[in-house]
Amino acid sequence: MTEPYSSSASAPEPQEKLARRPYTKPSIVRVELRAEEAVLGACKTASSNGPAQGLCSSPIACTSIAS
Amino acid sequence: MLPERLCSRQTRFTIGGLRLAVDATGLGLPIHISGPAARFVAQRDDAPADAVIRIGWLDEAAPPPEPTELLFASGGIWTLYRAAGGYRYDIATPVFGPEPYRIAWFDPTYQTGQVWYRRLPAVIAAVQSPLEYPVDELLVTNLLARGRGVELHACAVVDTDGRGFLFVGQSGDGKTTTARLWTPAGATVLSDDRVIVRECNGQWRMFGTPWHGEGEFALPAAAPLSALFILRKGAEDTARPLTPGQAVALLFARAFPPFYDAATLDFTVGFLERLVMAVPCYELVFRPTPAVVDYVRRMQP
Repeated sequence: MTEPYSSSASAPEPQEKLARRPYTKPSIVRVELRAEEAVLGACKTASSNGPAQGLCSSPIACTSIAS
Repeated sequence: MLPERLCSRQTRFTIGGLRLAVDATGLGLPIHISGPAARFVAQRDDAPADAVIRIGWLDEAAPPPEPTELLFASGGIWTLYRAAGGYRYDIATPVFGPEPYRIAWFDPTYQTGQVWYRRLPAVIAAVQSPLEYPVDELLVTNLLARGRGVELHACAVVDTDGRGFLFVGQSGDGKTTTARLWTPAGATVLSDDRVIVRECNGQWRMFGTPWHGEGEFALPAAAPLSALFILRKGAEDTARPLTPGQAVALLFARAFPPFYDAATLDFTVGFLERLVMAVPCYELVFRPTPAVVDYVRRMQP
């Protein structure tokens, strides 16, 4: 046998009501993803700040030095 | 001076707790591993490897499987294809001409693989390590993304009291600067550029990697992770807590998952969500002075 529905049975206590955070309108925040860094497509060297595969004289020995 | 090791042609590396067994017998060359990578050479043991990779020459070993589908063009030195049910990476540079000077193939789980070098005098002269960048990092990031963890663009600092702080940032955000500020304060820096984060037996841990930044901080060690900071340069030292949603988004944009594989991206986002629910995350605006070290220590994050 079930209890009759009571609107107060599941209602939050007054203190819980006070603890609720104020409503904030949903918003979209853009986060920058730098694809050239994220995909590990290129290496960086101590002497060049950026993709260096076209300039690197020893690409095999590259250790992915980066900032 | 950085350490150098003359290794047997069968070498084991341990990176981020992953055991990588590399058999370079097929190259027939003495293997001198120098620089930070040498620190990650492991003692031989009987523990099973997470990945076993064989190295050889294109003109000797069985040829690599033919590519059947282009999966991803990195825009840099490698291109990924599907081949023989696995993944084939063609690595090329203008220095060695238009043809790939190295081809790597991995099974779908990345637990076995093979690397073929093109036998050119310039290539022979340049070979330093049997598992060289970017193959090593591509292998590790793919293993991590299959249920094991994530690699972040970050500086990992272990403070004198053992607390582990992870300072996460893109190029130019101050990772190496951070490493250089914490070292004189007695802290240990595991890495100033690439850090692996894993959950081990219910504990979140951060691992140093061989892929260092300008400061060449690269230690084969791990520490518990106490707090995460997204770096941003500013006019004063101040930190604000991030909501889980903000933290996941900012970390994802500073992570190195295989962007060409939907299942691994799904794992990575879920992994980051669990991470930020377990470890406090802040945005840290800072000036490049020693005062930021005291500021973080006073926070007691």
